[in-house]
Amino acid sequence: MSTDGIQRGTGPTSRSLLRWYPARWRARYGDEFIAMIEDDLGGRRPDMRYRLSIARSGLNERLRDAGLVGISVPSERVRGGALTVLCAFALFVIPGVAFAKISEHWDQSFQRGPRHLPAVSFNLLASLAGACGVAVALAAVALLPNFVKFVRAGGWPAIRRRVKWAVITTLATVAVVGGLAVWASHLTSHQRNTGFGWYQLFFVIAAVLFAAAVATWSGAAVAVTRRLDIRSGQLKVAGVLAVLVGVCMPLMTAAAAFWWGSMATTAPWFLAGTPMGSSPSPWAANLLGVLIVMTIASGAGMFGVLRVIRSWRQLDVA
Amino acid sequence: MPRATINGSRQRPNDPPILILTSLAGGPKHGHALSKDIEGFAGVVLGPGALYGAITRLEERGLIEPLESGDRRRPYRISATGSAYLAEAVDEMQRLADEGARRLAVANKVSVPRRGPRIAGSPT
Repeated sequence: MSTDGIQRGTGPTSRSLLRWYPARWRARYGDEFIAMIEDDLGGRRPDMRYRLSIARSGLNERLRDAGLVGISVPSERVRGGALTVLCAFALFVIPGVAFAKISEHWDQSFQRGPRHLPAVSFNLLASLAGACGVAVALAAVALLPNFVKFVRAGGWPAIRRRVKWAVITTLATVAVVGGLAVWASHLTSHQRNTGFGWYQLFFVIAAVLFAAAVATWSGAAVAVTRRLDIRSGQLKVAGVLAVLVGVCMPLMTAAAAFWWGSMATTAPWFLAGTPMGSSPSPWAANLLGVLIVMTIASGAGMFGVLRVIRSWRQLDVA
Repeated sequence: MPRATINGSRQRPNDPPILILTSLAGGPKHGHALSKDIEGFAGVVLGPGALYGAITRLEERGLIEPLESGDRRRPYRISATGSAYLAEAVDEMQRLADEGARRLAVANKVSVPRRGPRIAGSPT
């Protein structure tokens, strides 16, 4: 048992550790959890392993609170699996947009020569991305009546804060990206793509805001969907669409990797930004980062797909 | 006979839910007291994250119940459902231990004394 003086020392630390947990969990277990941490530490400061252990447990509770893991009812597992795929796709969108920016005007980097391989992989990626966008939109349309019913039944206050933040980050993104577009039209390609100045700084800010907008909308979508009363038939439709999106993500990742490989062999100057016909190194840190995040998102998506498929047969039984 | 499971997964002796239920079978305890008791009888150190993750699941399933408390350290007790669940889990572990002992005895051609299940990580 720690003394009062020691408790004053560890109190703020305990409360900061509690922030890993969702609000509902904090409201129920927060006080006793902090008391246990204070007793456990006895005035010592928590080491990194201790902090990571609590962070992992807190994130696990957040995933459970969002309905993404830890559910035993088949219909809820399908819903959780579909939402996992949605979150994974939202994560995938960020490197996807980065890839679109990196590969911008790639087909103009050939005077002549074989552009078949990069074209096939790029078009495959674009087609799959379009199919995923349509699938997500179809799922949203399928659940729209449920959402209207939910709002009419007084559910809006439960999601208002998340939607508000999503709108704010979206408006901020639009403002910064719009300003950047106007600014870019007054700059040369060299000014836009070399060095690090104000333009590049605002580009990074726009990218961060875009990622924040995607994250907040995803959070809002999860918060809404887990509260909706969804019929079995609708859940099956959402499950099929989720499987489609989940399967497309690793294919798009493979297509992006293939595009990089084919560009590295046919037009490496495009990847390095050097004059046409030169032979620079095909390694590009930005593309590597894009592929790493795409792979992580694909893995998370497949996790969701497996949850949907495993619970599928039990859907009618439950 | 149905197996003792939480969220569909079979329980093992050193799983936090089994350790907590075993501890609470000896009387109500709050979080820190639970942690110390479990460390004492099983040699397993459950940090606050793992302990409260298991407490959350056990309470959701009605296997343990919170008691009123004057301070922040809320004690828990095992419920009737929790006792039945623990009894089933112990029975299952007992059968497993007996089967293991029997097969070892046959394999080694020596007599292995029968005894109750050992919790993984407990002191010898």
